[in-house]
Amino acid sequence: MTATPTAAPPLLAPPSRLRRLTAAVGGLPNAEALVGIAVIVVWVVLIAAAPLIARFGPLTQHIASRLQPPSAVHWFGTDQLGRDVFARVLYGGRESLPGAVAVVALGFLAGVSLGALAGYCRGFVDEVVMRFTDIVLAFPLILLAMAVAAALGPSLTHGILALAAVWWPSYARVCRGLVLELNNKEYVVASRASGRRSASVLVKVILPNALPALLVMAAIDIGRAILIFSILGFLGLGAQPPQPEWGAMVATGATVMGDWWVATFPAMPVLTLALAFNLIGDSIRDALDPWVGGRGR
Amino acid sequence: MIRYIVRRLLLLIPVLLGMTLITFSVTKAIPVNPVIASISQTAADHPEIVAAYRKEWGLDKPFLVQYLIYVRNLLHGNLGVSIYTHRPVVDDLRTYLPATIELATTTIIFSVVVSVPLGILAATRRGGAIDLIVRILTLMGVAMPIFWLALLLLDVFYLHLGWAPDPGRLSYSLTPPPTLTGLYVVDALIAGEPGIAWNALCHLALPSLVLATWSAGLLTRMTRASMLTVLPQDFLRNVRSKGASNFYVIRKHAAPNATIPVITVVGLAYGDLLSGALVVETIFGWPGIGLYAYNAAIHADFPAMTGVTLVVGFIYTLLNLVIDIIYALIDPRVRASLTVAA
Repeated sequence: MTATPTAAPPLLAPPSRLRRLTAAVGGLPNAEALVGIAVIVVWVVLIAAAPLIARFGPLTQHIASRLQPPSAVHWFGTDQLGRDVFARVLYGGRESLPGAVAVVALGFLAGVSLGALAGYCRGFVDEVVMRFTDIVLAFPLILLAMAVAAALGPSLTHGILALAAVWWPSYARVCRGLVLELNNKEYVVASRASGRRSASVLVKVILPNALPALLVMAAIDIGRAILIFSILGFLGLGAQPPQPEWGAMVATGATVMGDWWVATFPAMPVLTLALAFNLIGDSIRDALDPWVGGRGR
Repeated sequence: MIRYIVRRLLLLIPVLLGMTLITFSVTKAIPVNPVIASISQTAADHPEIVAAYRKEWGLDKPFLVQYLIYVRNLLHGNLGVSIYTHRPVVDDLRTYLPATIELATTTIIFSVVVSVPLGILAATRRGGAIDLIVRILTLMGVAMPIFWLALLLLDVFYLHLGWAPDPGRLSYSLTPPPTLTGLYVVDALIAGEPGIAWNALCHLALPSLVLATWSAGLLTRMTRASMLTVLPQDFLRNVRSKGASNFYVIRKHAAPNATIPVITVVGLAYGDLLSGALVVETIFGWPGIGLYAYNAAIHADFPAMTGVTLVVGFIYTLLNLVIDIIYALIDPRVRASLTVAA
C-alpha cells in the first residue's frame, strides 16, 4: 500500500482520521506482509515444537475425558475419543503443512520443466505441451484431483500426488511466457553467440532469471494449497484416521457441532495461514505495481 | 465476429477430445481390475456379465482402440453405469445437475449484486474506513475454509435458532414441482405454486450464502482492483474537468469500464462454483453433482466419478468460450482487435 501522489485522484473522499491512520500503517514497509510472515512463522514454530509444547500425544485417547470444553489442561478441549485437540492441531500441521508445500513443489517442478521446454523448443514441442496444459486446466481442479485420489485410493501421499497432478498448469504457462520473453534479451543472445550449448543457455542463463518470479508465485500459492489440501482431507480423500490432519479433523467434529471446539480449532490454522499467504501475495502485487495495487486474484 | 465464434468452436474440438483422453487414462490408471472397478464384485462373479462388459468397452483390444470405443460410447451419450446407484451415469447427471445449477446460479447472482457496488465503493474510498473493512472481509472470504463455515452456520441457524429449513432442496412434506427446467424455484413458479417456490428459495439461502463468502470475496477484490486501474485514467479527468459530478463520473464512465474485466471472473467463478459446491452440497445434503461426485469418490464408483469430471469439465470449457464471446460483444476495443486479427 504505497501511496504515491498519482494514486490519489481527486475522486477520493477527503481524508478522515481513520484514513490517515490506515495510510500510516500502509505506509510502513509492507506492514501487511509482515503480519502475514509473522503468522506463518508462529505456526511453523508451534508445529515444529509440537512435542515440546503439547502435553498429550496426538493419538492418546482418554475416553473418560471425552468432549471436554477448552480448559487449562486441554487448551482446545478434547474430541469424541478424549484426544487433546490442541495436540492434534499442532501434530496435524505436520501432515497439512508439508503436504501443501509438497503439492506446490511437485506442481512447480513439473510445470516449470514443461513450461521451460515449451518456451525454449517452441514449434511442435511447444504446441503439444501447451495444448496438454490447456486441457488439464480445462478441468475443475477439485473434481479432477478427487478423481485421481479416488483412483489411487485415499491416503495422504495419494492426496498430495492427486493435487500435484492438477496443480502444475499455471506454472507451465507462466514459465513458458518468461522463457519466451527472456529468450530475446541481449545477454541471452550474447551467451548463445559465445558458443554455449542450447541446453546450457536454458538451464544456466534463462532459468536463473525466470526463477525469482516463479518462486514468488509458488510461495503465495502455498496458502491456496493448504486450503484445497484441507478440503481433500475433509472429504476423506487425504489423510486417513487416526492420523491428525486439519481438514480431516474438522470432519471429525462435524457430527458434534454442539461441542464447537472439536471442529473449530482445526479450521483456524487453515484460515489464518490462507489469510497470511494472501496478505503477502497482496503486498507483493502492490509492490510490483505501486500505481494501482492489488490487481488480479 | 461470426468468424471468430466459428474459429473458437472449431478449436474446442481438440480440447474436448483431449479431456476425454485424460479421463480415459485415469480409468486405465486404476490399480485394480477395471472390470470389477466398473461393475462391482457381485456382477463380476457372473462370467456372462463380465463378457458383455468387456465387449461393450472393447477391453480385449489395444489401448487406442479402447479409447476410440470409449469416445464412440460417449458420443452416444453412454458414460457407463454407476456402481453405486445402478443407473446410467447420464441419467444420474440429468437428475443431479439442475440442483447444482440452481445453487450456483443463486450464489453468483447474490455475489454480483453484493460485490460490484461494494468493490466500486471501496475503490473510490481507497485507504478509508470502508475500504479497510471491505478488504478485511473479502480477504477472510477468500481464505475461509468453507467446510467449517458451512458446519458452523448449519449448526447455528438450523439446530439452534431454527431460522434455516432442514437440509435438502425442499421440506419433506412438500412434493417437488413438475420438472421442466429442473430448477425448483422456476418450476414451482411456472406451475403456479408460489408457496413451493418460496420454500425452495429458503432452502437455497444458507448454502448459497456459504458459497458466496468465497465468490463474493473474489469478485469484490476484482472489482476494487479493476476500478483502481480505471480511476486514475485521463478520460475520467477530462469528464471531471467538464464539471460532471463525482457520482456521474463513477456511474457513467468509471464503473462500466471497470466491470468489463470482472465479467471474466464472474464466468470463471461460476465454473468453480459448479465444482466447488461439492463441499457445501455434502454438508447441506444438497442433491447436486457435487454430492454425487463425493459419493462416487467415496464408494470408488469410477464410471460416475469420471462421468461427472468430464461433464463438468465440458461445461467449464463451454462457459469460458461463452464469456470470451460476451467479452468481445460488449467491449468495442476487444471487438476491434479481433477484426484486425481476422
